[in-house]
Amino acid sequence: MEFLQRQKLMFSQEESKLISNLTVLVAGVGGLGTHQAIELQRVGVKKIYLIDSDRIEVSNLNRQVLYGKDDIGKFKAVKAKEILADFKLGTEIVAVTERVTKDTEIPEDVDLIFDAFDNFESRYELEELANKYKLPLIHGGVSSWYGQITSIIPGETLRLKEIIGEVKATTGEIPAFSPVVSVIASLQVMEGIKVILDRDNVLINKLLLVDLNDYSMDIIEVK
Amino acid sequence: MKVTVRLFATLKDLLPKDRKKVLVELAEGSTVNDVAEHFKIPQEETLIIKVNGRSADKSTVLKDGDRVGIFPPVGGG
Repeated sequence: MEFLQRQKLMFSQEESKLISNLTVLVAGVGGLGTHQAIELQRVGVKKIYLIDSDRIEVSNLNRQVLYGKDDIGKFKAVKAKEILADFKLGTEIVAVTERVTKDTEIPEDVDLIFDAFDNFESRYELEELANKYKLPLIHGGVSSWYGQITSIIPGETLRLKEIIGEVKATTGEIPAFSPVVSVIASLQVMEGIKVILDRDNVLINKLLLVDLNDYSMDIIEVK
Repeated sequence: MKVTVRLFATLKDLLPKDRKKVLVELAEGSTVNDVAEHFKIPQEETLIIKVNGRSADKSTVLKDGDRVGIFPPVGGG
């Protein structure tokens, strides 16, 4: 992928190879998922599975950056794949229009899972899956000006539920602002790449709290 | 006794303006739940709680000089 010329300047050959051989699963192709997919393609991963059973609604368009007015009613995963594939950057994109449950089969070639859901019920099911398949899960969540990120590594970190706790069923609408969603999604992609490259300063056993209202970031230990 | 309380994300609005942490005076034997009530944090809110950097919960009993951090996890996407 010759378009990665500038990116290669900051990684070793071995690291660049790890990135270009990476297959990821983006669970949820909404606000976080569309931003993540765009970043992951630009980073030059080998393959992206996009999984989401939802169809595009008008209220999605303030932050779900691969869709427009003409796409209302279409499957998110299918539309996202269509737009990304058109860039012809070499990453294989696979669209899956199934709902993720704890019984979902994860394709064998997946190395890393990105949490891009919009509620904790679905996240906990996804995390069950990641744990079953022993795959790292990069968790992220947003609301209003705020977000949080952590890496869940089976056998190495606490489970997501142990960190977050029991969450009552999501009621009402969660405020979402595109610039905040974009920052959190980008940080998740950055974290995922760093975890795969086995770099220092990752969010394993750490929860990053991002406040874009006062521009503060705090890391708390979660062990 | 006095404990230092830091609130994060949406809970920051419950602190006096431009304050990141505050000293709160509590009765001996108070718990984290008393801190939550002091700041009128809704009972149904899911919270990640740290006392002196260690995981805690609402029933954790506090002592003079403790540092309490309360974080509401956010779940949108």
